[in-house]
Amino acid sequence: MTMRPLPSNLKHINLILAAGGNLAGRYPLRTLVLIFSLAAILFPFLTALSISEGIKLQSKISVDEGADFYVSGDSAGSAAPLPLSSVDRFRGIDEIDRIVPRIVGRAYLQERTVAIVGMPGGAVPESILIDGGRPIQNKGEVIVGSTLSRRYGLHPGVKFYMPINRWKRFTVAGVFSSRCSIWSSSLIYMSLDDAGELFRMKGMATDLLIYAKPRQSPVVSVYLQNENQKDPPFRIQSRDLVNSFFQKGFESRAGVFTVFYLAAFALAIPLIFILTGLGWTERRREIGTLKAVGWQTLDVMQVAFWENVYVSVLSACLALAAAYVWIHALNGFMIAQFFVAEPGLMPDFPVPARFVPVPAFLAFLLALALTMTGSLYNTWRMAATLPAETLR
Amino acid sequence: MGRDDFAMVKAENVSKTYRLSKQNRVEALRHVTISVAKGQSVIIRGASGSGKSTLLRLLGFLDRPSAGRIFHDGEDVTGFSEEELCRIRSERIGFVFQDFRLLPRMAAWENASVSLVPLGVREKDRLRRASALLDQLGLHDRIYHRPEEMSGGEQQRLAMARALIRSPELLLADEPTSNIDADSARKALEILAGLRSRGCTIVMATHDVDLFHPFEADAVYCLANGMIEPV
Amino acid sequence: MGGKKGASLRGSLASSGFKLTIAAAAAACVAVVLMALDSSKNGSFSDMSAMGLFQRTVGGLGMGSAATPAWNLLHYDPRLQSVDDSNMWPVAGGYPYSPSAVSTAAGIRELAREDLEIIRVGP
Repeated sequence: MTMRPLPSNLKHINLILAAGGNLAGRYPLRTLVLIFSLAAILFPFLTALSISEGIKLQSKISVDEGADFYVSGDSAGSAAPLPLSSVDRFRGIDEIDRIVPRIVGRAYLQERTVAIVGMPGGAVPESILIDGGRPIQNKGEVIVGSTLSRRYGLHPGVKFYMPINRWKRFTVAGVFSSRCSIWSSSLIYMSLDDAGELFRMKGMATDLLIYAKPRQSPVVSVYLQNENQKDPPFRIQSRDLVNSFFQKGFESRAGVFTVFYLAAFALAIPLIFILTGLGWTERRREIGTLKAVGWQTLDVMQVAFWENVYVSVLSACLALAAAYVWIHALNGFMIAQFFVAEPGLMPDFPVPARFVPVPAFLAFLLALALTMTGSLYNTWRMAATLPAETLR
Repeated sequence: MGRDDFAMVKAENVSKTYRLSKQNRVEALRHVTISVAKGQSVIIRGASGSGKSTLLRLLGFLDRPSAGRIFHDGEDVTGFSEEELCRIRSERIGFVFQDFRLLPRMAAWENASVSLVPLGVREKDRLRRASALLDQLGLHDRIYHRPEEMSGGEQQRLAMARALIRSPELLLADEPTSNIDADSARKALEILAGLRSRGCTIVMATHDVDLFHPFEADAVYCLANGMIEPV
Repeated sequence: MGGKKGASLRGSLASSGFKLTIAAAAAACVAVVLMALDSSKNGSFSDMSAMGLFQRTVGGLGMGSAATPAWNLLHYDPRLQSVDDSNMWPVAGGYPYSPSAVSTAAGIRELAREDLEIIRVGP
């Protein structure tokens, strides 16, 4: 009795289920080991890319919410402070909404470098402060980052000074919430006058923040470049320029990281070869038997392919879940320090992270590529050979 | 290409040489011609190493001859692609291996019906067909057992079930009684005899002289040193 | 002819395969849910507005993968310092911090100051 051909989708379903049966029914332990091994290889990759995406998001906000232009002095090609009177050079430009001088510097607080930001007035919204603090109201008051507050006990009301200027005393008025971004964690925010006194640069600013009126940035840019023809020269960075490089910078870094990871990944290939090749003699004979009873080469290949797909999906998902837990429950313990320049096994601020689909899909593709490398060629070689050879 | 409309399967002047290394070759078959008509049952006998298994593999398209031609149902299949031979194997030929070649960690019914998987046969239909066949072969208590949990005789019958699941026109059995006890061998011969009475073409390779009378083959070929010898 | 009475598909390879398929689909769903949860967390109104408010307060601060301005400001925020001057430090061998080695947003240019004039002399 000859079988009538049945719909081909049933055939494919059978082959997919056969692949799953091989993994879960016949070799469950080996399958588990393979999945966990792959997940262990993929998990740092996903964790790192998620941190990169998290920093990218926060950086984007920094760019979008910052000024349209950053103007600083020029000293032999490096940034230099400029006098507050420089503001007068730009006052005549109608398309400018406002100009804000700023001092940004760094100093040491005990052994730690901290960022100092001084802005005119020092106004800070209360919503970004943790409970118990308040905005700056008096001279000498500062808002500190959450890490500094925790590490050095700088709670509201505490007075301190910094080695850079022992005569300048500060009082903590409030503490930035850790939701503000990673750059708030080690920041000391004060008034422009206080920053000028701290750094002994009264009447100076490290940069001028120029905010253009809506849609007037291109016009302001031209004015600024014209103004820059005169002496003394200054350095200008525009939001548009920063934006164009910002995206490319992150993608380039992520790309470089991925390439390096692939190279390291290659070291995992021998491990995967061993794991997927376990029982390779048995598998060879099995393929020979299947061919002998009428399985086509493509049928055998399809089963091998779906086995790899199953393993890749499960390992990528497991790696993502592990990365998620590692970031959100363990705050990137041990791993975050390699991707955010913050000393210590456990960062003392919430590690920024975003789990977006592309890295997850990339992890799946990596796992698939690795398992295919380990098995598909050999499977094809066996399946395409005459059964008598493989059955020997 | 010629045709031989009377033969189910035919090997015409086939030779098979195995190249073991640059210097060493083994001529497993030399100018062998054998023809098996439809419905015929044939025994190929010979000592170990005479080329019986090689000849059987050529007749079942598990291997290709180094020289000569193979015909199946009148058609010269020597130049057929592996996929075409696979299709014919799947539809028309059942092969029982000397060492059974059952798939480990797979239930008996799954082993028996493994050739139905790529045909898209539903699982419950595969189970039904395999259960019926295993029942006929006296394995109704072993349907869910794995080969490693079965005796030699049971494995032999399971291997037969796998070969018979698609009701092949041609059954090739390589030493079907060599690895089992006498009682199991008798049962296996009964099964083969039953198939013969239903018109199945059977080619059996064996070195067991005592087998000939119980089986009552239509023809007996004697192989020695890769060549056919007069019986 | 009928088969064994009450023949069961439980424990068959196909049923194991089916269970694995369900497990894989479930794992994929869990992954999607985790990403959605993360997205809602990252996109939560209060967090985004806190970050936005902070950045507006400080005039846009921070872009690199450094939470503190250790060593130099370059990898903390390239807008503050886009030139790596660590090679001028007196430490032999230096620390290989450079735009290409550290910052995640590297090499941000400034608006060019076009003041170069080429004076041609001769016929």
